[in-house]
Amino acid sequence: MPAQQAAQPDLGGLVARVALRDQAAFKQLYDATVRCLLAIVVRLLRDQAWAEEVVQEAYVGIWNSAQSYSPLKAQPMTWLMTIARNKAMDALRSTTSERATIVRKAPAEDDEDDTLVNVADETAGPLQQLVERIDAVRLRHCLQGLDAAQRQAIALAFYDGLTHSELAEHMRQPLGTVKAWVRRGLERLKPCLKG
Amino acid sequence: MNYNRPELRDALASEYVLGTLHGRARRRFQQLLKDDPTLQAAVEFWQRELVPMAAPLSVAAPSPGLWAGIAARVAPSRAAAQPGWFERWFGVRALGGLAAGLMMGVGVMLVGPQLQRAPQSGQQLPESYAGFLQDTQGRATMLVSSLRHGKVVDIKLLRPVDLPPDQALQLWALPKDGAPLPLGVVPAQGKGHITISGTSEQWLSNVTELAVSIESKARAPVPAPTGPFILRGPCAKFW
Repeated sequence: MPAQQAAQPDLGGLVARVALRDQAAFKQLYDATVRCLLAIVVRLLRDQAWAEEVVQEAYVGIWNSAQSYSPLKAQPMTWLMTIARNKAMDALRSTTSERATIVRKAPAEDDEDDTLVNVADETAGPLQQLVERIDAVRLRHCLQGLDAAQRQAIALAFYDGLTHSELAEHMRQPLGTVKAWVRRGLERLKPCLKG
Repeated sequence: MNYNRPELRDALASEYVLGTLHGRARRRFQQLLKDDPTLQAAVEFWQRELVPMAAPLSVAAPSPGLWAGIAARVAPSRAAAQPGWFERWFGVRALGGLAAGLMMGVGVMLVGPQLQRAPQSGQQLPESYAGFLQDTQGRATMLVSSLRHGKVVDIKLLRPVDLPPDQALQLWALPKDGAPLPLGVVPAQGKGHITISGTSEQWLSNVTELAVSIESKARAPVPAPTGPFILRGPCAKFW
């Protein structure tokens, strides 16, 4: 809700001004969020230059769709991250682009499972304050209810953009097994998140 | 694949948000998503729940040229070329809500052709939200209107409301599901307006009804209604 959003930068207020074509507000919104959105996209695409192209697309998308943002549907930071992730997945999943196979490095070995739980940790730093705390706490609780393998598969897909077959290769398991981990993990998350 | 099975639809929505749908399945899903409100709702659920965990533990520094590239693509000269842009901007300026100087150069360029079209376009109500509130006896009592992308809500009392001197009227937006949203304090007679934080679209897009409660003048506006709703009525989209 814009009126009650008292977090450091008033992202909801800035998005509302961007919807009115306020360029100064757009620059403030960019300054407050670009380092966060870029980090998300770099991790998915594993290439800084490609990620910057995608982040540029994301901000143009934010500018063009700010009028349709509804604070009733999502926190402003969630909305911004959704747009950045969608643009990154479009780039990554576009079959016409060979870039994914050419420039993408392998995901780092050390950054998979623990991130998913730690990310919502209360001590995780000022960035997390941009995201609604309640959502993160509930999500962390729900993720902890999953099997370790389910959680790891979901984390690798979500943070590193791995496809089912990339997951199978990375986790050294049959394709059907990792597909089931992802599907059952999500199925188990739903009632917990809704509850 | 039978896309009508609810559990399959939800599974696809969750995998789409997670990122594991790819190739033809992803493109087909995106195609379906365009015209399917229940699928859109499923995707919105998973986005709202999963995307907050994307918040990274560390940040990345953008190269200095990134902002320049973005700024060039949203510059007013480009924006002016898009249909509908002028109307939106004009709607805002009519409310006196925005620093019009920012866009003045473009405005001057466009005023000429716009004036010639004015007789037609002036007869159409711009995209607005409209509310029509009745009292408990069903008497039409209050009109509420606001431009869709504006930040001012105009209010007109059709009949005075009896109010003790220490009480005030507060206007609420009632979403389809969820608690009443406080819009602000309104006059007990005559006309007035409320300036809201954010646009009407943001506040009212999911709202089906408006209501007015009686609150203590000293405390209003309050975050949640303490008194009963004495006026109530539908909130409609006028476009």
